[in-house]
Amino acid sequence: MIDAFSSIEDLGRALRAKEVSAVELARFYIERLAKYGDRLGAVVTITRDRAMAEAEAADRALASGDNRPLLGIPYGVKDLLATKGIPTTWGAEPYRNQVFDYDATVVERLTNAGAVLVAKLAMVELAGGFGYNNADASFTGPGRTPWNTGFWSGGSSSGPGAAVAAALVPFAIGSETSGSILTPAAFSGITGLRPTYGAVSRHGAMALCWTLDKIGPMARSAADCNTVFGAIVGEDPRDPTTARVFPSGRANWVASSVMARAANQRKARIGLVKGSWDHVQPAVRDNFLASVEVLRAQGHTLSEVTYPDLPYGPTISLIVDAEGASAFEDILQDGRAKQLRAVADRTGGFASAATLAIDYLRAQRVRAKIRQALLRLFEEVDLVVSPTRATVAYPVGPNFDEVYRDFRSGPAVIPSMNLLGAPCVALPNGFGENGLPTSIQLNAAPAHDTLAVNVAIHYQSATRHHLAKPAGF
Amino acid sequence: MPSRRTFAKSLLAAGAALPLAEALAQCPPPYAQHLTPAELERIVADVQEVAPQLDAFRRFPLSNSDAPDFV
Repeated sequence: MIDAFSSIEDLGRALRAKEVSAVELARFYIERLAKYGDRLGAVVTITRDRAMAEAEAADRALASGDNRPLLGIPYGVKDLLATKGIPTTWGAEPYRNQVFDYDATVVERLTNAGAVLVAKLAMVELAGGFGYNNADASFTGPGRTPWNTGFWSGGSSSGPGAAVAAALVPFAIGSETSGSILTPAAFSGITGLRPTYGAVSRHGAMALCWTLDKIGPMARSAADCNTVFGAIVGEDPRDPTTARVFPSGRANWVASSVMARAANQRKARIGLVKGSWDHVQPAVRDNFLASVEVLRAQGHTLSEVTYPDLPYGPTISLIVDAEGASAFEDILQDGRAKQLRAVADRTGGFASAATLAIDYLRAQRVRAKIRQALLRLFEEVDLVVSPTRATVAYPVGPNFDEVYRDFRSGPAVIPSMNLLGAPCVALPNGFGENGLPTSIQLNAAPAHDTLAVNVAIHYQSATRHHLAKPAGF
Repeated sequence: MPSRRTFAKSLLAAGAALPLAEALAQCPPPYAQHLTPAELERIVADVQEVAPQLDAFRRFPLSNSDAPDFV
């Protein structure tokens, strides 16, 4: 009997003990994807043939004594990663029949690690680059969180969030430009790792914004995210940012089993962002403060930090607008942008195309100031911590700006840390309104992914939020 | 010759003051040909909504030596 919610480590142990074969495991998760995928709006394509071939290869490797941690482990990828011969839709009607003849580097690396691709997972069209304002922003419909399917699973990695939370896959690969791993991790009650910009190759990934896009793992625990991260981090000549920004990413990686040892627990100076829990939903605040006490009890040094007052919002908006309009120039020029699902997306790209070059360059110049200010903050503290989102998941139906009007995040931690290129782990830390999960985010300085993961792994060793299972799945 | 620049200028002008009909008339292909008057109106409204923030952003102090950071 397979527990769908098992960790990667436990599934690997079962495979090596021959309690289950890789083929059986792949079939098991494919059945779950087929059974629940549509209900959650989580799946674009089940990659059955490829999965069976990879699982059979994994069984042969297991029989020869191969013990790589991801060998035979099924997974899904956000449908913006190229997969040879399988549609890669970018969540958008204009690209619905797009097929590449190669695998993205991340997929290639997971294949080389012995993992088994079982699904291409749903996403907000074009990763949200044209300004969607509603959960129904993909040709597959809205992603739904399994904790309460009347609510959104978050975006733009909506399918990875829902699929991991409902244990349709043990782990998934998402991407973030500004919040697209953290938000679905928060709204779906799972763990998400946004790596340092440049840590993971984007070759074969849809580009929304070249100077902000990042690829990262989403799983139920920080330990699992780190195991996957170990397989995908590192230089790739096909993505020059991996060599330029974070060349030591692979060398710095530490196995989860090593990091989890009590003796290897790192003590951090944690900065709690002032104002980040003052105007959030009551349960978000209460769960955040309870999480803070766990961190305090684990020996971290906590203090409140004042966030630099800089124009994060306009800066990131102008950068995403300009780069996004350029990245999708083809569908703006021929008008296919009008086929997009969300009403706001049908005109948003045209408005973005009106961004002036001088404004874009100004934004990248202001970004340099922002990076300097945030790096100074990281001289005072090792981690910058706040609630991941001010509220639980948005309901499916109304526009985002029509709900939760009484609540706000305070300092713009997610956009600013994305402008910095900083790594972050988002962790579930309880539940709030309508039985929906809440989350805490741990941001580290660029290239210090391992510190954020270390603190997250030990936080989860002292809590059980990440082990909760949604009913009915 | 119609260009993105004239399109951008027309939208920004529309966001500032220009009447919608005039803005529409100024919007050239390849972009504006795909937009209905209602859609253009929505874009103009969006531009108008963010205009104060954009103005403030343009006043953020920068010196000649402040180079862009593309990461």
